[in-house]
Formats: sequence, structure tokens, C-alpha cells
Amino acid sequence: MPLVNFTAREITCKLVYYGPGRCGKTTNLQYIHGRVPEARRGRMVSLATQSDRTLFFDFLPIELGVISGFTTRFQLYTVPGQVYYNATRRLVLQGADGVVFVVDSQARRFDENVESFQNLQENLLEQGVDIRQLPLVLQYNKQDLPPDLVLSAPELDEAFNFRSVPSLPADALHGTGVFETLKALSTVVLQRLAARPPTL
Amino acid sequence: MTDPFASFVADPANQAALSAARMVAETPRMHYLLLLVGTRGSGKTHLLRAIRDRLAAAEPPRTAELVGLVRLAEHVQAKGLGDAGLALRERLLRADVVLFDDLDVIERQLPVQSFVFDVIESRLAAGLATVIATGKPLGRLTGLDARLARRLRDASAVDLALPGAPARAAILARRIAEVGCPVAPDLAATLAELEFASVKEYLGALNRILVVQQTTPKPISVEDALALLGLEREPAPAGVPAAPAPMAEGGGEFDAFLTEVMANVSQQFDHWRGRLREAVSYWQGQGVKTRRLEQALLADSTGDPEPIVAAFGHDAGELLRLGAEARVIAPDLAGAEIFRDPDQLVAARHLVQEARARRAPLSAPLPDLTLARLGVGAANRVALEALAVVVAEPGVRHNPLVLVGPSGVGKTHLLHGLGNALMAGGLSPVACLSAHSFLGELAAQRSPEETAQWRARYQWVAGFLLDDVHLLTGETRAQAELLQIYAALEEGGRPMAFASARPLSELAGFDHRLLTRFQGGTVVDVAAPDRDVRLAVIRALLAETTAADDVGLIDYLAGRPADSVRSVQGMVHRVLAEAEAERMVPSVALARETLEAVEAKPIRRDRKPAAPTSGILSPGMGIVRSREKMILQWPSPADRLLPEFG
Repeated sequence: MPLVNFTAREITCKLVYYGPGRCGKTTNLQYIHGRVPEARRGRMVSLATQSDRTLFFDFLPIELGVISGFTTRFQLYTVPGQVYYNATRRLVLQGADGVVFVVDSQARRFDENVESFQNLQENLLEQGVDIRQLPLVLQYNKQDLPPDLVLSAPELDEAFNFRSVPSLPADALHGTGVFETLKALSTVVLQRLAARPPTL
Repeated sequence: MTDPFASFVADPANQAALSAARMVAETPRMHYLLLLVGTRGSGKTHLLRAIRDRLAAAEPPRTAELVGLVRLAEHVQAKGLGDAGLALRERLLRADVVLFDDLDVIERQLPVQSFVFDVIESRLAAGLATVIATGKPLGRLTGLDARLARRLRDASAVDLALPGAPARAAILARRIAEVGCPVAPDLAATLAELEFASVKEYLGALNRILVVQQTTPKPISVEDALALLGLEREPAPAGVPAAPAPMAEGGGEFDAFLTEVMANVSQQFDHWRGRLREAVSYWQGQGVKTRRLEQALLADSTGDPEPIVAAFGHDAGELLRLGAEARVIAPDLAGAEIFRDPDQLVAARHLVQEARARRAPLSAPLPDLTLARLGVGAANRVALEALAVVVAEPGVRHNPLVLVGPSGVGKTHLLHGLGNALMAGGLSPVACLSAHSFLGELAAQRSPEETAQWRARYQWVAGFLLDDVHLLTGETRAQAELLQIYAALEEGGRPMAFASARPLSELAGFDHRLLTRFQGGTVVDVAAPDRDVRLAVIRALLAETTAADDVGLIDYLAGRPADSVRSVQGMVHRVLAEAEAERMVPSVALARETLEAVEAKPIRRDRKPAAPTSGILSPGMGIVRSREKMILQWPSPADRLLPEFG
């Protein structure tokens, strides 16, 4: 649930980009980083290997300013996709307000997508979080690749979107669908502000 | 029509404000309070006008009211708000969007701030958008009304700063194009690099150059233009980073995202606040205090506001119903503050319950037993004088008044007469009952709650008169209740009177607290009726009969021995009944025959029983004779028939 600090009048949302290795999570953040005015973005922390693989995680803080009297911040994280960094993924998932599951649309990566999606559910369960209760958006990345290499959005919906969550085709490298994905997730996350029981 | 926002040159320094302003212009009827914070000349007014013009051009046209607070403040200082203020308020409440410019100029101007606050509140309650521009950040505004400051803290705030050099150059180039004057090609860019405090000052500098330029067909060189301004071109130092570029391509994506987030957050918080404000506004209109809702508003929580609003509405509704009932059943409670505060609901319920209890029917004085109809004599003159004092100063003197005298001397009449006199003097209600009724009513109360309600009836009366108080001897519970009633009435300074057939000193088994209170009042003895009293009673009873003026009869009756008023009344009633039965006019003879014959009976009862006789009653003689005598003197049947059947 988004952290609403009524004393400090702050709203902080932690959004995590999850998915198999090389699916485009960091690319999403890089694109966003490039489009957010300098005054509103923090330093993007990225720990990567020499071959540009995310070693630990990426972190991009975004200041959205004062909205309805609340200083609103989004903190965007990615997890390392490689299977052997599961401990890091669990750590990053802790306290997540919403998850973008980035699907690599290439047909040959289908099994890795499935494995990563299952891994997401397992890691959430370990933290006592039911994936059905967590704001989730599916992003079908790399839809710009030749059609014979990728699965279409309906096909991927069939495989992954059995809960009818928002799903968007994307080309993170060129920015297509990147902000749409972020908007979709932020909408679901912020709507949960209303789920907070009233306190007097 | 061209887009009014098109003339606003976007820059990273003002992009968020531009996005927010567009959002307001596109969704005007939205529960929204937007604060544009920017230094002088940063483009706030430009954005406000763009919102207004966009709305005016919408289909169907929308109304946007742009209020310059400088002018409003001047008007208020000169003339006060008055009718013009009311008219403006009405207009602002009808508008789709209200745009207040220059909030910082009304620092320490509380009347104007109050007006602005009222408009904002009313519009938020109605779910309408308001945009406010200020030259100072909220934290630096001084002398701000606390309510307005608190409301503005809930606003969505977006900052505007002086745009960067490229944006300034674009603004200047646009002005040059508007004037249509030939100038040096790099004039706009050069001016934009200079340091001025606001865009207005950049435009002012350009205007000075353009005025000169319009006098000559030859474009003025940059150097000459700078000289006109008293400046020289400074070469850009090496290594200085270039001015920030205008919005990167695709920056609109972030704006759209930001707009979406603002709308979402506002929807959550402002819906919550709006619903509560709406409820506050409604219930304040009903005259109900809304502290609980205001606290909820301050708590700034999110979630479904309906349970809070519904719970408050339930309480406030009940409170209003209680208040309405109180107005009817207890005018002294009408308008009481307690019926305006839902936090006092429990106390209000209790108060109305008491009012209901005290409104329950009471034993009132019998209307026939007035002091005017009481026979006055030496026996009751002191008591009557005491009663007159009580009537004149109820609760002040002779409180309590205790009448002591044997049964039938007129104590009950005196109490009821006192009660009627008090009511005639405006006291209401006055309870007048016997101790017997008091005991019966108390016995009928089945629970402590019922007893409390019953007690409350008497604790609220304007006067309390209890007859035959000696009957409470040994009645511990009744005495305890009477003591509580006594305490409440004494505290309220309400008149009390008691009557006892036994002297107070003989009331054994009486609670000493009660007894000492009786003894501390005015104790008056009422004696057996003297001749004057008897005469007055008899005259009153014969007043409506044919014997009203029969002095002999009145004198005869008054001379008869009587130990109480009741026995005098009994005598008169017997004579009148006999006269009615015999179809005769009441007279001394009839009275003597009636009363003295009755008197004779007890004498006969005292005699020894007569010897057994035949039991034959001699007709017409009323005496018993022996059988032998009767037979001897028996008349012939013919003689008998005449007196017996004739």
C-alpha cells in the first residue's frame, strides 16, 4: 500500500519492474529517466556488470511535486533478471506498492517469462503477499521486433493475463508504451489510497 | 480560434504548471484546488488567462472568473465588501472555474482573505475547481488567515520559475514578430542571455529597442541595441555550460503522466475532503456544530468518507429531532446550545427524557377548592395569611409551609386553594396530591429508571403541595424520594406546602432530614372551625338554594356543635337532602327534625336492649308495644283501612 505520511504530508509509492533477464526493465527506467525534467528526478542508481546486466538493482526516484497538499514521490526499482539473484529480487520486492511485469515478447523467451512470473508469485507469497491483491501491470515489451519472432499481445494475454490486469504492448528502447505502463500502474496504485481505512 | 496555451512558451521551469493549467481548462468541473507558485513575471497570469480563454472557447462555453486580488483588495479597503461583495460571491460560486491572481497582495488583509476562503470552501463543497496564483510560496506568506492557510496546504502546488534563455529568446522573438519590425537577427537571443528579474523586464527592454527601431528602416545592430539599454555584450566565458534546453522531445509524456497522477491523487484526497466539506457545509447550514467532521477533515485520511458522514448525519438528525421536541414540550429548553452539538447527543437525550417526564400528567389542584370558597375565621386566618404570602412570593417566604391540624379542619381545601392561587399567578405546573396518591404512584414504578423518571416529574414542577404527609410515617422509600424531590425544589426556589393531621413532633419513624426541613419552614396550626368559619361554610353551601337568605336556618346550623368543616358540610348536606326528598323548603324545623333525630340514635344505642316483645311496631307512633296491648287496642279492620290505605 502506498506510504502516506500524514504528519509530513508525503505520499511515497514504490514501483518495481520485474521480469526475466534482458526483457527491458532497465531500458524502461532509462527511458523514463530521460523524459523526466531534471528538477524532478533523482540520480538513477544502476549497478550493472560489464556486459550491462543489472547486478543489483536500478533505482530511479521521481518527485511529482505537491499534489493535493501532499509531496508525492515515486520510487522506481528494477530487479536483476538472472535466476541466481533471487535473494536480491526478494529484497527489492519488499514493500512494493505495485509491480510492472515486463514480458519479453520474443517467442523463444516464453519459458523464461513463465519462469520469472512464477518466481514473482513465489517471492510475493514468501512475503505474505497474494499477487491477486497487489497492483500489477503487464508490459509486453519488444513488440517492435518482426512479427514472426514475437508473440502478439492477445497471445501473451492468453498466457499471462488470467486476472485481466492492465496489459500494454511496448517498445521500451524507443519509448513506446513506457509511460503508458507507468501511468497504468500508478493509477491502480493510487486508487488503493481509497482502500485505506478511515482514521479519526 | 488558436489555442490560448500556444502563446505560453514551454520550458522545464514551467512545464508542470502548464500541464496543470491545461488539465483545469480541460476538466473544469472538478473538485480541485490548484496553487500556481511563481516569482513575478514567471507567467502565472498568462496561464490564468489561458485557462479563462480556453474555457470561453469551449463548446458549450464555460465560465471562468478571473479575479485580480489587487483590485479586490483596493475595493474592499475603499468601500468594504457590501452588496457588491455579495454579488461577486454569487457570480464566483456559479462559475465553472475561478481564478484568483496575486494572492500575495492580500497578506494581512483578513476581510479579503475571509472572502477568498469562503469562495474556495463553497466551491470545493460544490465540487468546482479554483486556481490561485501567488508570487510567494505558501510558507513565506505572512498574516494569512489560519483557515485559508490550512486550506491552501491541501492544494496541489506547482512551481513556475523564470524560463531559461532559449524560452526567453522564443518569447522575445514572438514579440518581434507581432510588432513586425525588422531587427538584427540575433537580437532576441542576445537579449535573452541578459539578466533580468522577470519576463516582463525582458519584454520591457525589447520594447525600448523596438520604439527606436520603428523610427529607422535600418535594423539596429545588437551592439547599438545593448547601448540603448546602457549595456554591453559580454562574451560567453569558455567552459560555461549552455543554458538548459527547452523541454526535451517527448517531455509531454512526463506531463501527461504527471497530470494523470495529479488527477488520481486529487480524486482520492479531494473526494474525501469534498464529501466532508459538503457535509460540514450542509450541517452548519442546519445550525449544527460540525467539530467531529472538521476533525476528520484535519486528520486528512483517505478512504470511504460515507461511514463518517453517515454516522454524523445520524447523530445530527437525532439531535435536531430532540431539539424540535424540546421546543414543544419544554420551552425553557428551546434554542439550548446542547441541541446544536452532536457530541452532546447523550446529554441531549437525557435532557429531553427529563422534559418528557416532567410533562407527564400531574395531580393538579381541584379547581373547585379555591381560597375564595373557603370559610374564613379565627381558626384558619393565620393559615390564610401565610398562604397569601406564599402566593405573593412563591418559593421565597414560608418555604415550605406546613399546615398542621386534625382531620377535617380544612387543610386539604387550603392546599388546593393555594395550588389554584399559584397557578392563577402564572406558575405551572403545580402538583397537588395526597400522600396516599404519592405512595400509590411510587409503588407503581417497577424499575430504578421508571422511579427516576417519576421523580423527575416532581423535581421539575413549579410548585409542590402534599397533603396528609403523616401517612408517610414508616414509608422509608417514599420519604427518601420525597427528600430528593424536596432538595431539587428547594434548590430551584420553588414553593412547597405540606399538610399533616398530626403534629410534626408526633411523626415518629420519619426521616429526620425531612422532618427538620419541615420544621425549618413555617408551621401553621389549623384549628377546628369556629362560628365564623361555620357561618361562611354554611352560607357558601346554601348560596344556590331557596334558603340562601334564611337567617334562622343559617344561625341554627352554625350553632350546632361541629369539630370540623367536614361535619358542618355534612350537616348542611343532610338538611338539603331531606328537604329535597320531602319536597320542602329547607327550614329550621326541618333541620331540627333531621339533625336532632339523627342525634337521638346514638342515645338509643347506649340503652340496654329492650325486653323481648312481639316486635309489632305501632303504626304512626314509632314505639314498640306489647302484644297484649296491641290486641286490646286493635282497631276494627274498617277503622284500620282508612289510615293505612287511604
